[in-house]
Amino acid sequence: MGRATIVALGTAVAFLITVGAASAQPTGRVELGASAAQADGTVACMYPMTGRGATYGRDSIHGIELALDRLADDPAAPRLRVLVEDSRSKASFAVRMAEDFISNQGADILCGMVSSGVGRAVSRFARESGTILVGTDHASSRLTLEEGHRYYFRVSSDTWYSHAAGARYLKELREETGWQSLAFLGPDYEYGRVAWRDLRMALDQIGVDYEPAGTYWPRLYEPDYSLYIQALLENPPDILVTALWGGDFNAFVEQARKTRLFELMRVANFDAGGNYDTLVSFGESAPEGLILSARHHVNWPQTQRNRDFVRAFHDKAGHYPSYAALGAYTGILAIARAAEAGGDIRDTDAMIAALRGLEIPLPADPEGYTSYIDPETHQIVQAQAIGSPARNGRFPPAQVLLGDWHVYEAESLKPSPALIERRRGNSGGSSP
Amino acid sequence: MKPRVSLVGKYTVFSLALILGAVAGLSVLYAQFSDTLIERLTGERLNAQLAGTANRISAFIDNRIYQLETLSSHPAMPLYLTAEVRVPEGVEELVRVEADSPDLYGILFFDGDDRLANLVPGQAASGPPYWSRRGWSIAPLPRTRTGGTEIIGPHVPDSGAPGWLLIRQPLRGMQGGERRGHVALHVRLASITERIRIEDLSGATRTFLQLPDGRLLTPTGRPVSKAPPDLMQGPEVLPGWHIAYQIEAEHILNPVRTAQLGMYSLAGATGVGLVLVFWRLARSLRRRVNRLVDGADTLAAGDLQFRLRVHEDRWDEIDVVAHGFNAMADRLQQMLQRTIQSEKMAVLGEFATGVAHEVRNPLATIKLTVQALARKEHDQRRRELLVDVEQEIDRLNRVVGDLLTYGRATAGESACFEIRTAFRKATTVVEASARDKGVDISTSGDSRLCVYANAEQVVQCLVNLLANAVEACGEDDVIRLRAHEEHAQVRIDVTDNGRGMDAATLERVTDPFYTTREDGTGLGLSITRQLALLNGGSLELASEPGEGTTVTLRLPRCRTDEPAGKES
Repeated sequence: MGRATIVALGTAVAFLITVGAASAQPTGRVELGASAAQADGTVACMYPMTGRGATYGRDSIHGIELALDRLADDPAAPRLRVLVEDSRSKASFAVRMAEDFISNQGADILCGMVSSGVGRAVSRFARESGTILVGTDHASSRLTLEEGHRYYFRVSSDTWYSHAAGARYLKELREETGWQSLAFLGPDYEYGRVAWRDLRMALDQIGVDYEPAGTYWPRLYEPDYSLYIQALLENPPDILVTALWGGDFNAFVEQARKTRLFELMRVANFDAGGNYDTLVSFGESAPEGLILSARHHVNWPQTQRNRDFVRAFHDKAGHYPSYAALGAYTGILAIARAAEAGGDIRDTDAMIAALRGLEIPLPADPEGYTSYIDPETHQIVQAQAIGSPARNGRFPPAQVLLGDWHVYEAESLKPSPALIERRRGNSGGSSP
Repeated sequence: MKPRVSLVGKYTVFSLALILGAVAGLSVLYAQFSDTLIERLTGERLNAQLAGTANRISAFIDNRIYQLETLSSHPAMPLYLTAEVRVPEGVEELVRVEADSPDLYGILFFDGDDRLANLVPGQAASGPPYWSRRGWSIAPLPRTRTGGTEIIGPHVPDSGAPGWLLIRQPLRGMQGGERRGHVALHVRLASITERIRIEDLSGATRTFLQLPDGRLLTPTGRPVSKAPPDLMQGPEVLPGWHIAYQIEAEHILNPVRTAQLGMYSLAGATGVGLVLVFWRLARSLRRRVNRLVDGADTLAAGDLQFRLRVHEDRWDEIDVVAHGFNAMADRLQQMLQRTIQSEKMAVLGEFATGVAHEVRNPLATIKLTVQALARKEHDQRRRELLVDVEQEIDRLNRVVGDLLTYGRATAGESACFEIRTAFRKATTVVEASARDKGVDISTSGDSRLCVYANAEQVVQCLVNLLANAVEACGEDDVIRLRAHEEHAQVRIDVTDNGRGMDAATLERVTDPFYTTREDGTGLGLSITRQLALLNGGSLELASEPGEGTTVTLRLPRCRTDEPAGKES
């Protein structure tokens, strides 16, 4: 490498560092909880505040506020300072932001992320930087299995849990309808690919054979699904499982319900399709035959804790919560409880030890069950409920809610040690 | 008698010709429409759209190549191939930003031996080589060169993952050096195939991406197992890469053809139906017309009683004709009967007048002689015999009078008068004989009605009818005389509940000299009927044996405040 090359390289690097730092300046930054001077620790979260994922970001902030309100009532709880910035659903931006949080903002723990692609990038950064990352919303099971590491924890259900429950639902459905062919439609990125793999594994694990009827991979945030709807109409499966989420799923349903798609096949979305904003988007009635679930439901479980959470969220936000709110709420509570147990939020090893196996009662827990973080995978273990939309105006503006629940116990959904070993072995991933 | 030409047959042929003409015209229109449609589907508009589609794909690849040139020419990029020197943070940031596109899985760096040396995951990164590089290789993939850029792939989708391709350039900072390497954009295959969709609202045009080895990919990026037989090759987007398309004219034409087939079927069914309907109609019409013809023949043969059956509920054209036929037969029968009656009356009248003239004068002489003999006769028994002779002469004289009346009957001078006047006079005449038999006579109805007729003849008619009724009644029987308005006439019913008549008697009872009484002349009802006709009226009889008889006399109605004869 010549001198001129080195000079040019140095100039370019300096320029890019400057540009990069400038581009990572917070936009729409939110600071919650204690001040920097009074705080026992700082948690830095990244959520999308713009684009199709913005609803999740805004609900996550309200979830964090609810958690901080609850901690404020507990004299023993640590005083947390929470920083929230817009990840813009871009991995490069979020990684740069995470670096800035750690290097310049004094963040002790990272949290958040809606997109699994962004979560995966930030998780890698967390591993490299030795910083705890508490995932609150992204759901790729690879982050706790193949790519799991000691600094990564997730406090919302992942694609394995939702699709393990979905596989069991499909098995039950086969007994009713005798369906044979199955197609998959998922966003072409980490989350969609992992969801499809988890579903296949789960179906295989419980011995459900099926006739593959195609896999379709539209882009994340695809504005027009007509191409894929047309392909499905030309080659209709008995069951279409989709892993589209948020605005993408809403847009797909909106387009598909103008065709005969819902007459030709049952459409299932086991991970995110039952989200509250999707139920609102259905209007007066949902398309026929939908099978949906989500990581939290406003009307399940029917426990006092869930009712209190949903009501408190509505009082604070003016609307009912999407599942992202519970993820963020859980993340802050889990960090606080771990800090209480570990003694110091800045002591990473103590925090990791406290987070492993941490039990935390949550609104998503049915009666008699308490969520906990699996010490093996660092994934929270929660029951799953799958339902069908029906007219119900209890939580307006939604005019339909899920009902006819099929509930699958948390422990029955946990990945087996053999599966964990196989997946970590396949990827060369390390045990946390 | 059989018709030589069938009108129904003519209409059938005409209707069939109309249907066939319409179908032929529509077929011509359809052929023109199909040609136009196919021309529009395959013509200039499609070519323009295909060219636009090719431009979109070329622009997408050009943008990627431009993006790639930024990286391949960057002096720091070779650092991704070395393990010894860490890539500066700013350069990492640059590459991460370049990779952060929904169309890219990431940016890959290859060493001089085409082995993957490093990678930067992008927004859509997933699957190999990001999850694991094990078994991942570009060696079996086809390669296409365009300028200084290499297109590697595509790797078509398999059951678990979407397809992809690499757009690769050599790292220029290393050219001339000892070590060589490449940087590649790992591109979603669907990001290219999605762009081959053309805006075809009809859905008749299907597009594919045709690879150099002939494989076809759908717009969703999925491989096509069997190429459609009528595939056409469109513009080239990369060397050996083409847009291919298939015109599914059937997609649009099938519904039209189905409609056309439906139209032909409908026309055929209509034709068959029409023939059947006309055939049935012809049969029915011929049968019914034959009945008309037979009726006319029967009437012509002299059977004036023959009438056609008329369906009042159906009342179609044939029924109207049948009704007209019956009315014509009625009038013809009446006219013939009147003619016969008139001729009979004329003959009888002439005969009766002659006889009366010859008999009356001798009778007068005989009567005077008998009266003279009776006055001079002292023998009581003989005188009584002579009185009997005189009475018989009177009766004979009355008969002769009736004969004269019948034979020389003429209409008297008509006037408008109240019918009750005639009622009163007639009942007065027969009152005594009715009382003797214990028969009651009652009048009812609107007796103020006026008739336009000769008053004396009307009274004579009523007297005749009342006398007959009294004769037919027994003790405590009743005779009702009733007048009421009926259209332009006054209907007068003389009804008794006497012994009545059988049908045979009723048929002949108005014939001259027909009588059932020993002392009757058989001219009363004949004269009454004759007078009714002379006064513009009519006479009808209805009777049931043991139930009684009703004689209906109809006369022209008038009003006293109107000029005579206006009421009709």
